[in-house]
Amino acid sequence: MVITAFSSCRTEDDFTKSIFEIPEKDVDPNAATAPFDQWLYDNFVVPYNVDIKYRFDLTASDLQFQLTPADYERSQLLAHFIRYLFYDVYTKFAGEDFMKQYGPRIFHFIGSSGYNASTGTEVLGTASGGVKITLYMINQMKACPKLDPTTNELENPYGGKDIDLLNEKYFETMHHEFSHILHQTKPYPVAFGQVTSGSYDPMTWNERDSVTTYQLGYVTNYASSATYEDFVETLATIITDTDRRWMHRLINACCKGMRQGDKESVLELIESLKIVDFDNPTKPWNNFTLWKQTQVFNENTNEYEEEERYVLEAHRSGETVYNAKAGKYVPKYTYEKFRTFTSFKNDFLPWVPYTTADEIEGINAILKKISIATQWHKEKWGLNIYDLRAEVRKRQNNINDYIKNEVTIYELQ
Amino acid sequence: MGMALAAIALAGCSHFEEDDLFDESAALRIGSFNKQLQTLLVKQSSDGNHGWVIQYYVAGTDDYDFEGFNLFGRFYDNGKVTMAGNHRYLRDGKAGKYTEFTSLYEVLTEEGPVLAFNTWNDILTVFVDPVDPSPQTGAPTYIVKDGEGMNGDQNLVFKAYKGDAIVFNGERHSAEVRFVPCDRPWEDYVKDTETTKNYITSATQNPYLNSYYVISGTDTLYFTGLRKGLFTYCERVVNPQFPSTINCVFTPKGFCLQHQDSIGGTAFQEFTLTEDKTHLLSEDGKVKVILTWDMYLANQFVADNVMMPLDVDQFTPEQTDLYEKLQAAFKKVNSKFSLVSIGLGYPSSSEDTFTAVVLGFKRKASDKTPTLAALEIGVKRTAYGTFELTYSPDSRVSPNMRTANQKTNDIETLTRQFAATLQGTYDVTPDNYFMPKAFQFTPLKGGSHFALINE
Repeated sequence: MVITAFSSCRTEDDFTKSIFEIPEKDVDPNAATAPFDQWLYDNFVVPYNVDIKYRFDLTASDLQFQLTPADYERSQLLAHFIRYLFYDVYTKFAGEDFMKQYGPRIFHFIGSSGYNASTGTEVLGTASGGVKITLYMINQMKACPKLDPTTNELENPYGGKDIDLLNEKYFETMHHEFSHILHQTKPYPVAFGQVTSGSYDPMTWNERDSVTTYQLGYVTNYASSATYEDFVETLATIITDTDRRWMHRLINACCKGMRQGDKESVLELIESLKIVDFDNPTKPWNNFTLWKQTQVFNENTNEYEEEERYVLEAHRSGETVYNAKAGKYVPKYTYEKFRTFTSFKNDFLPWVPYTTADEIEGINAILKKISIATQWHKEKWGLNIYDLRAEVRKRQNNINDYIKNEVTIYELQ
Repeated sequence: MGMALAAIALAGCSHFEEDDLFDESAALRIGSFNKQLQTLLVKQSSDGNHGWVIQYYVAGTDDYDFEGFNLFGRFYDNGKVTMAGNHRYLRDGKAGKYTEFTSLYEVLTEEGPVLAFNTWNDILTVFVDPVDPSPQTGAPTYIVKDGEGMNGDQNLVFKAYKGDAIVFNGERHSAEVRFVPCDRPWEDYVKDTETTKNYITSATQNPYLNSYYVISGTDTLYFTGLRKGLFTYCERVVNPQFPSTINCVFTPKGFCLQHQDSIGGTAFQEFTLTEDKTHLLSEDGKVKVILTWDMYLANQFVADNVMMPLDVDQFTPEQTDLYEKLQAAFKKVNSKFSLVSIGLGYPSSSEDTFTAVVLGFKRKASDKTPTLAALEIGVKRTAYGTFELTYSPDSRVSPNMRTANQKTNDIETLTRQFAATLQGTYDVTPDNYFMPKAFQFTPLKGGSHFALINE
């Protein structure tokens, strides 16, 4: 995910005033979109000073990409989700004026992603100066399920994978960008950036795989690009990442070793994240195999070199490289099956070795940074980030009821 | 820019009142112009009218060119637009099927008026989507990479009024798009266009049935590829070395190129099939498009194992007599053989290959194809629609003819006499100028009337 950082600092402006005029009534009743425009006015313009630009604005988009407009029906549904899963969540814990004062002012919906054919990457979301958030790939959202009048149930309701997509494509971006707004208003502690100060890489962070990232002490590879990205990624992943992804992250980070006290901190974190069915033996974190990566092939010397690290089955690389000496392609890495663990808490954690290495890495670094970030969130904003996570998850679990009872998708008049 | 737009609007047509525009500031003039453009779009879409045909083009990629597409649009005052089409890039199993979809539009003010289709539309936005269209539609695979798509535009910048048409350019990729008032219900337009397209283009792979002369006075160009909507002009029909392409759309009357071109200084863009359906004419009638049907005919005389029979009903008395004698002579050679036809063509592959007067004979009436025996004759296209047949007394015969001669040389003698009757220069007309199956030869010098028919 490519997200542009903020380029300007915030001042002491009074943000209760809108950056654009809010006339008494901004909706043309004759427009084809009048009912939805009215809903936007009532649910975004008035309470939060927010403009949802669901119509594609070419001049306001990134002209280096070939982009398409968003689908009108999906735009409506996403607007509902933004209200229900983002604005209303912060409002619940921080009060009515919080988002009016600090929230993004403009959302711009784009139907496609921005493909960069030369690098093979795609843009999922961008932010401009804390004011505008552009969300891409709206048209990949699942359409609003229709209500079956005979059963009064939704046909093809939103499921776990659909919600994962929402988080991955849209809400992680929103929480990430909003966290930038917050830390630019009230700076985070310098100590945060010192935890893994030696390994930030703004140039080639995207070449780091997830195992390397976690074992260096970052929650995502984008977090390893700069301290401020690290900070907001830490917060955003706490709020939006799934249980599975968190446990995956913790397993990989722990493999590097832990310090005294980290085991208890890991369990406390899991408790705070409210990982569902943590002790269930069928969950993937209670039944997994670690592989020992033993060697990596050096294309310069045409020899294998020792390089030891532990990886999950899913991270075993199938990459091949050319061995000029042998005249054929060979696997880049060699692996040995190490061990199968049948319980994260009672089998894996006791196995994790204690390290006395001088550098802080892996799980120890992640725990330290989570502690600093969540503490800041509480002290500066009065917000408990784990409460935000729990509230978001509760709402996501009820999303089909929300769609059934609260969402109206308007036809064009 | 605002004044330039207003000037274009006034010069192009009588849609707007001069006095309304020039009393205002430039910004207001553009705003007025936008409103008037929208009014025009809506007015043509109102009850009693049939909206617009949108002759839509994409910019394509470095590797692939795309034909023009006929889309349809009906614009409403409240910002809604209903579009329709039956093109091959429609998704969800709708490729090739007439489909409608309603979305939104706006006329924006940027450096000039911009018609923006700014929410997704199933008909139009697929051309803009930066993805490979093949997984969804079964369109040609691997034609565009993710990140490119077909490089279409959903924002169209006003360019000019041309008669009743409105011309736009895509805002990012500059491909020209024409809005033309539709004169009939959309599904009728689709059906009528398909009928005309099928009539003037051939579905076969034969290069001569997919090539056209474009003629203005004494100047002639060759064009190929019309059926694909890519009008490719070249220096020769077969294996052209320097092709160049203009994309086009089909219309109920013929076809229309994306932009104007010229031949010998005479411009052309839109072609209409003539009433007698022999060719197409440009708007001012000065440029003709004719299928290379005569090259197709000439090619029949050099294609292996081809025989086009002569129509016996048009034989002269002399030819009838010779033909009956040939039939009797075949019986003498072998009573089981029957001469079933005489024509022009090319004998079966053998060491002797030449254009010939060809005798077709069968052992049994139920034999599917006749065996051929041939006598060489010259058949040459000397000008458009003009052919010269030349016979020489020492012309060659095919092995089958030599075999027949072993029993009696009457067959060769009679065939030579028959060939001599065909010698001459002829004006040739096909039964259908776009899908020829038979050809009428009318003597200009020597010879006599005859016709070649298709079995």
